[in-house]
Amino acid sequence: MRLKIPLSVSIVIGVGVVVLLGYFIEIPVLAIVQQVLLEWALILAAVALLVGVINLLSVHFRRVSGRQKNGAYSMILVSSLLLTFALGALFGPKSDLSLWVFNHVQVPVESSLMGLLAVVLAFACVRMLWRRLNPFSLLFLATVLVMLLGAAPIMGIEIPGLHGPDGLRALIAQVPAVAGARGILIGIGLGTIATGLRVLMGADRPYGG
Amino acid sequence: MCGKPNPDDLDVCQYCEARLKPLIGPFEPADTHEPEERERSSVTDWLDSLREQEQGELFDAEAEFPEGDESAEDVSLQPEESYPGEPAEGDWLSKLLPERGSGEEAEASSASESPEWSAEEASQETSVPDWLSDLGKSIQEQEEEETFSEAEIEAFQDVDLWGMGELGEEEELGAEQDLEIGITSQEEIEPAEQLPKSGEEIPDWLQSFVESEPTTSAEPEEAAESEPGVAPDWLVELEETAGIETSSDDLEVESELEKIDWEALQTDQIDLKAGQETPTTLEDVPAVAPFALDEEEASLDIGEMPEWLAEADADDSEEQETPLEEIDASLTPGELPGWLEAMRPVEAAAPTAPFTEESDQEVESRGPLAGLRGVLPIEPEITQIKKPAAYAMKLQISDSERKHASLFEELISNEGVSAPIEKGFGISSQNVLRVVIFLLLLFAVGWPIYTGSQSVDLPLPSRETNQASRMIDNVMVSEPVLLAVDYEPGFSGEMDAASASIVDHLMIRGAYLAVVSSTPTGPAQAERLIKIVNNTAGHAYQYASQYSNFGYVPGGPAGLLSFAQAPRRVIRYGLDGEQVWEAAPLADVQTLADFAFVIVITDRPETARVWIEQVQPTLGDTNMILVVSAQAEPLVRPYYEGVPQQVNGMVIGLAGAAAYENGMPRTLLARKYWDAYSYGLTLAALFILAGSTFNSLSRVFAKRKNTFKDQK
Repeated sequence: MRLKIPLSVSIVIGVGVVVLLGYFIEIPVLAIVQQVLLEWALILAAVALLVGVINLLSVHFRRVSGRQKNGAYSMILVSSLLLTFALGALFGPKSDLSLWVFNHVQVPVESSLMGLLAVVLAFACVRMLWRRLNPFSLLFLATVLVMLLGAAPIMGIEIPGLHGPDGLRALIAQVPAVAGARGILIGIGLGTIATGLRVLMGADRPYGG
Repeated sequence: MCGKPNPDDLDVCQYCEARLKPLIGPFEPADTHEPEERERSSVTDWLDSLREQEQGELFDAEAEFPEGDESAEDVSLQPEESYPGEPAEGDWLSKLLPERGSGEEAEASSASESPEWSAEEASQETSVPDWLSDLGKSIQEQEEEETFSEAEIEAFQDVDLWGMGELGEEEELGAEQDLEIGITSQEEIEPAEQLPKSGEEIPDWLQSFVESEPTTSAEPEEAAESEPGVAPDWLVELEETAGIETSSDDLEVESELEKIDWEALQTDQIDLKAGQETPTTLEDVPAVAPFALDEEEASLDIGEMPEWLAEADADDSEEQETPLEEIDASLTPGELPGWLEAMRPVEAAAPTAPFTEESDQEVESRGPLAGLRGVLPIEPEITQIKKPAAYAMKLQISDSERKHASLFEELISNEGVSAPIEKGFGISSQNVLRVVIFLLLLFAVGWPIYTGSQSVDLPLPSRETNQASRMIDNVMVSEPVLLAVDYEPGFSGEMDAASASIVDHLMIRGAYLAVVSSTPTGPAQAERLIKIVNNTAGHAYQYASQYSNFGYVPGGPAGLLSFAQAPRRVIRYGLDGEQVWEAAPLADVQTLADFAFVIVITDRPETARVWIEQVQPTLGDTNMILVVSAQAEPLVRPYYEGVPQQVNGMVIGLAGAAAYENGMPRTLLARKYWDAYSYGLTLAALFILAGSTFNSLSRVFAKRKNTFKDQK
């Protein structure tokens, strides 16, 4: 039986096999080929990032030029992108202007979102028992309180059995949480192996081949 | 036809426009008077001879004389100019008559059955003029094989003279068929019955026709000279022979017609026509003379059947003669035995299917099934548009089934409707609550920072924190340390405080910092971190001389793997475009294992896992320290707890940094944030606890209230 494998699939399988073998077999030529392929991956990823930025700019530029709904936000985005790019291109990414933009625009904005998230999570936790009052909710609430109160002394007061390396908070964080995290990591590893094998066998083609 | 006198030169009656001269007129030369006189004399002769016969048996002489008998010629008054066709007629007629009867009885019957005018016609043919005889000769020469005789043709012409006039071909064929019936019927019907019977009374024109009949066939001019209103002798004799009084009373004629045995006539006709080919054209139709049978028909007579067929016919006739009643009486009815009679399913065997009237079924009128009744119709019934039958749409179900159906319908309908959200009991407005929560947290966090309170003691360093601190303590001056800054700006509050003490410690130790990042915002974040530490701890770390920023390594895990295997190939230029590897601390660095250790600062467990899985295997004996967010601790700790350790030291969150600073000679951000962190977490925990308690109690009371209302 004659198999008809597209060229893209052949390339993907070949590259994957070479890179995979580089982990287990110490052959200088194979290591060189692996390194070259990895460098190509870096370049392609950087170009992809650049293409993404250009695509973002073009999409919002069309919205601005077409005067579509919420075009003002697109205008802000486009102007901010162009300004940041201009500052980085003219003065360098390490310049004070570029860092000023980063420190006084991007960091506060994202930090505010994280602070807002903290308040929302607290409020959701308050509303949780109103929505669903059952043993698991109570257990979840108790765990949250232990982890919060055990993370820092309560008004400067450490409670024995709760704070400290042998406290309840450390016990929860290092035993049940790590156990669950290990399971998650094992699952991630198995899923990665299965996905890699499927890609290497050509059964899964996320690249659209 | 009206009987009124007309001039001789007229062909059509001036009164009724009936044709006075026959269509064969053109055969008669108008300018020759001698043949006319000769014919007239001959007609007169045979009329005279006819009158001489007292008994009216005109056909006796014709029947008696055999073929070639000269006596017959005398009787028939055969003229000398008789054309060759005449003997033929004499032959078939002479043959027919003896065959249809034997002996004198047959002769008598034939004589009695044959009309007088038939013999008269035969006699007329004897008086055919010369021109006609010549014509007959030529015809005979041309059609020698034709079995028709001139007498038959003449007879047909005579029939035409009887009143058919100018007929079309089809009409003539139809008329000839009628004539055939008439021919067969003439054997038993008196000549008077052959008179026109379309009218109820014989009109004048018919009367005149009857009077002129003897002369019109041969000499129309002479017939015109005859006295009108006087019946010819042959008609008188015919009437006498038939024994029927000639009268104009139509009722008497019809009564006599009713006496005719038509079935016998038809039987005779069938016998005569058996084996005769159907003529296709009028020319092919033989001009059969009345009461004349050709030789072929005569040969098909019963008398010539073979013996075996005659015997079989005789047997059949004998069987048929046996009365049916006698046969039935002779048969004994079948008797079934008793046991068989008992087993006979009379009722079951009785026909139960309704009788189908065949008359209701259609008879096929075309196609190969023509004539059959009740065959399948050509058009299927589906093509027949019918109004569909009306069926009741109401489902016949019981009450229990109806209840179950309604319950099932209710269950299905409820699935598509979202459950209404019950409003919280006792909460006036969620917005107010949100504002209150915000203000409380803001106060709890902002107030210690604003006041610089350090009332809360720092936690004791954990094992992983102590290991990280000891490794950093072992760093030599200008020893390269790879510092990976991979956290997002949103986590800057936590990660800056968590990593500031580490960076400060490194700066204290005088390590050369090689900053790299796998996130796009990492290089800027690293610059920000170094700047913060410099500003907070009072360092003056200079770029390129004390630290270098490799920038962003794209590609995620692949990029990190590539960077781990060949850092010089992946990173060649720094953030300012300088040759990073030309710096003195980095000159001897070929791989990541050449760094004193690798410190990864990240907020996401995925990034930490990538660094651990892709880079740590290439480090060799070089240690790896993780400074992670508190949310990443569960996923990172396994790498630290494992044996062998993939992560040699960790600083987790603000608490880890506070513990790290607790062992340092000076405090930085962790100490600054620790009171606010402590108050904020406590307040948040209390708020959650209080709110959850309140909501749970409200829910319980609400349910009880509803239950109490339901009980009422």
